[in-house]
Amino acid sequence: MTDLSVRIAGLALKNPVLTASGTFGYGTEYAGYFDISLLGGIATKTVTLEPREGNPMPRLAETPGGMLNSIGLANVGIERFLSEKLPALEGLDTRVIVNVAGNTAEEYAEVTSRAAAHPRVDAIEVNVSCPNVRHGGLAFGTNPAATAEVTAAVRAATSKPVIVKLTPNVTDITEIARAAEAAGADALSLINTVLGMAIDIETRRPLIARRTAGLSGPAIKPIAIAKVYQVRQAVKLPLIGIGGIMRWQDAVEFLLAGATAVQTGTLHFVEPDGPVRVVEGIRRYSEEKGVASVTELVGALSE
Amino acid sequence: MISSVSCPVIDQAPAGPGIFTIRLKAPVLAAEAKPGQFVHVRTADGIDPLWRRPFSIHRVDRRRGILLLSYRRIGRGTSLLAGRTAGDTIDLLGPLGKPFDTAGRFDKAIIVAGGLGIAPVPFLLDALRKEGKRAVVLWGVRSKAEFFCLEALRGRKTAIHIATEDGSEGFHGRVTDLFGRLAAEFTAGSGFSGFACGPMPMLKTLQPLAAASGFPWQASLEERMACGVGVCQGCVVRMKNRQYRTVCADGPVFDLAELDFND
Ligand SMILES: Cc1cc2nc3c(=O)[nH]c(=O)nc-3n(C[C@H](O)[C@H](O)[C@H](O)COP(=O)(O)OP(=O)(O)OC[C@H]3O[C@@H](n4cnc5c(N)ncnc54)[C@H](O)[C@@H]3O)c2cc1C
Ligand SMILES: Cc1cc2nc3c(=O)[nH]c(=O)nc-3n(C[C@H](O)[C@H](O)[C@H](O)COP(=O)(O)O)c2cc1C
Ligand code: FES
Repeated sequence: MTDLSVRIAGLALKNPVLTASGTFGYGTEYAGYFDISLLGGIATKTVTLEPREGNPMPRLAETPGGMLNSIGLANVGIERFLSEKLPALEGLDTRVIVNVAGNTAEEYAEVTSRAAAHPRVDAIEVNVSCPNVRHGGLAFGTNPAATAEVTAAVRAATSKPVIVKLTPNVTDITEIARAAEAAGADALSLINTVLGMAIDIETRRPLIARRTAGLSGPAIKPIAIAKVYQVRQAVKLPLIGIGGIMRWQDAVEFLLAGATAVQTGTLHFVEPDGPVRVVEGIRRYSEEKGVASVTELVGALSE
Repeated sequence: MISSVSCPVIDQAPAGPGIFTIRLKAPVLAAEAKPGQFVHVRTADGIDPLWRRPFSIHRVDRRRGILLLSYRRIGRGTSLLAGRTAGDTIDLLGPLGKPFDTAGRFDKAIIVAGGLGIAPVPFLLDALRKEGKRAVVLWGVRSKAEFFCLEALRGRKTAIHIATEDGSEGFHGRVTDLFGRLAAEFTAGSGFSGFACGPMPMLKTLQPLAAASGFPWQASLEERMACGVGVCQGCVVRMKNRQYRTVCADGPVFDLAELDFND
C-alpha cells in the first residue's frame, strides 16, 4: 500500500489532490455528487473584502481543448463567506484553503486575517494572478516587488501556511517565485489561467465581453508542466501544480516535474467526481511502480 | 440527489428537419425530474467538445423509467449526440435547475414558445394535466417545416395556436405578435398563469406584453454553460434589482417580470 499523504508547509494532506479556486465554488456545491472527504483538500473561490458581482456577460467561451473565462472574481465577500459558506464545511474531513485577493496589499492582509482566524481554515492561497480584473490580481503577480509586498503583508497577517498562486503571463516566472519565497511564502501554486482571446469572425466581436480572458483546460497543461519544472529549479518551497489535469496521468506528470501536490479545475465541469478518479489513478500507478510514498515521485525525472 | 449517470440509449429518431428525439433509460432521473429542469450531457468521450451540453427534459415516462430529449443538430456536440444509437450509453448530469411551478393557484396556463423553446413544453403539459389544469400553447417558428411533436402538444384540456414568420402555416408573424392578437382573451382575474420558453429576443419582446396581462409569468432562459451546477458563475443573467443570477442553478426558470434584458 502506497502512502498517499504529503505535507505542504507543515500542512498534512491525506493525498496530493486538491480542487482549484473558482472551479469548486465554496466547497459544498459538489457535495451532492461525491464524498469530498476523499480529496486532499479544496481551495475556495477567491474571496475579497467586499462582495463582487463580477464581469459583464459573456464570460465563457469554449476553445479547442480548453475554455476561456472572464468571471472577474465574482464572490460573496469575506463577511458572508464566514457566516454563510464556511460553516457548511465544518464536518468535512479534508483541508480547506481559502483563496484571497484585494485591491491593495492591505486588503489582502485584512481578508487573510479574518479568514485565517477561523479554526476551519487550514491555509491561505494568495491570488496575485487573476487576468480578469483591472486592479489586484495580475497587477501584483507580474511584478516581483509587488508580489513580495502582497506576500509579506499576508505573511504578517497569519501564522497559517501561505501559498502564493503564480501567473504564467510573465517573461520569467522564476523571478516572481523567488520574490514570493523571499517575502515569506510557505508554498507556491501554479499556474493560474493563461491570457487568451477568441473572436467570432462573422460578427467580428470577441467572444468574451472584456475581450481577453483566462485560458484553462488540457490546452494549457504543457505550459503548466514547464512552469512547474522551471520553478522547481529556482526555489526550495513545495509546489502545487495546476493546469489542464483531466486524468490521473496528468497529475503524475506534475509530480514528476516537481510538484508535491496538484489542483484540478476545468475537469470538474466535465466530470464532477473527476478528482476522486485522479486520486485512485495515482494510487494504482504508485502501487504498480512499487512506490512506498507518493512523495518519492516528486521531481523524480529520470536522468 | 443530482448525479452523473451513464444512461443506455433506447432509440433515437428524426422528429423534424435536423431535429432529433432521443429516448434514454434513466429511471432515477425520470422519477425525480420536474418540468423546466434540464440535464447536462456529455456528448464526447474525449475533450472535443470539452464542455457538456445542456438540454431541457422533453418528457418522461416514469412508469418505464424513460427520459426524452429533443434537440436541433447545430454543431459538434449535437452532431455527436445525433450519432448515438440503441445500445450506446450517454453520461447525463441531472436533473438540474429550478423547475416551473405548476402547482400555483391558477387553472389555465398560457404557454408561449419560440422555436426549440418548445422542447420542455410536452413535459410541462403532462404536469399541468395531472394538476387538472387547462393550457393554451402558442408556438412560433420561422417556417412550417420546423414544427415537430405536435401530437404531444394537442390533447385533452390543451389548445394550440401556431405562428410562422413566413406565413407558411397558422398566424403570419412572430409568436409574440400572435400573443398580442389573442391577449384580450386572456384577462387577469380569471385564473391564468403564463409560461414562456424561447430565445432571449422573444422573451424581451414578450416582457411588456406579459406585464400588461396582469397575471404572473415564468420564463425559461438559455445561456451557454460550463459547469451547469452554479459553480463557475459563467452563465449569469441580470435581474431588475441589479443582481446577477446563474441561469443553471438559480434558473433556468425565472419570474419574467424580474429579468433585466437591457443590461
Ligand atoms: C437550459 C438549457 C436547455 C436547453 N435545451 C435545449 C433543448 O431542449 N433542445 C435543443 O436543441 N437545445 C437546447 N439548448 C441549447 C443547446 O444546449 C445547444 O444547442 C447546444 O449546446 C449546442 O451544442 P453544439 O456542440 O451542437 O453546438 P456548438 O458547436 O457549441 O455551436 C454551434 C453553433 O450554434 C450556436 N449555439 C450554441 N448554443 C446555442 C444556443 N443555445 N442558442 C443558439 N445558438 C447556439 C453557437 O454559437 C455556434 O454558432 C438548451 C440550452 C440550455 C442552456
Ligand atoms: C471558471 C473559472 C474560474 C476561476 N476562478 C479563479 C479564482 O477565483 N481564483 C483563482 O485563483 N483562480 C481561478 N481560476 C483558475 C483556476 O484555479 C486554475 O488555476 C486554472 O483554471 C488552471 O487549471 P485547469 O486547467 O485545471 O482549470 C478559475 C478558473 C476557471 C476555469
Ligand atoms: S454554468 Fe457554471 S454557473 Fe452556470
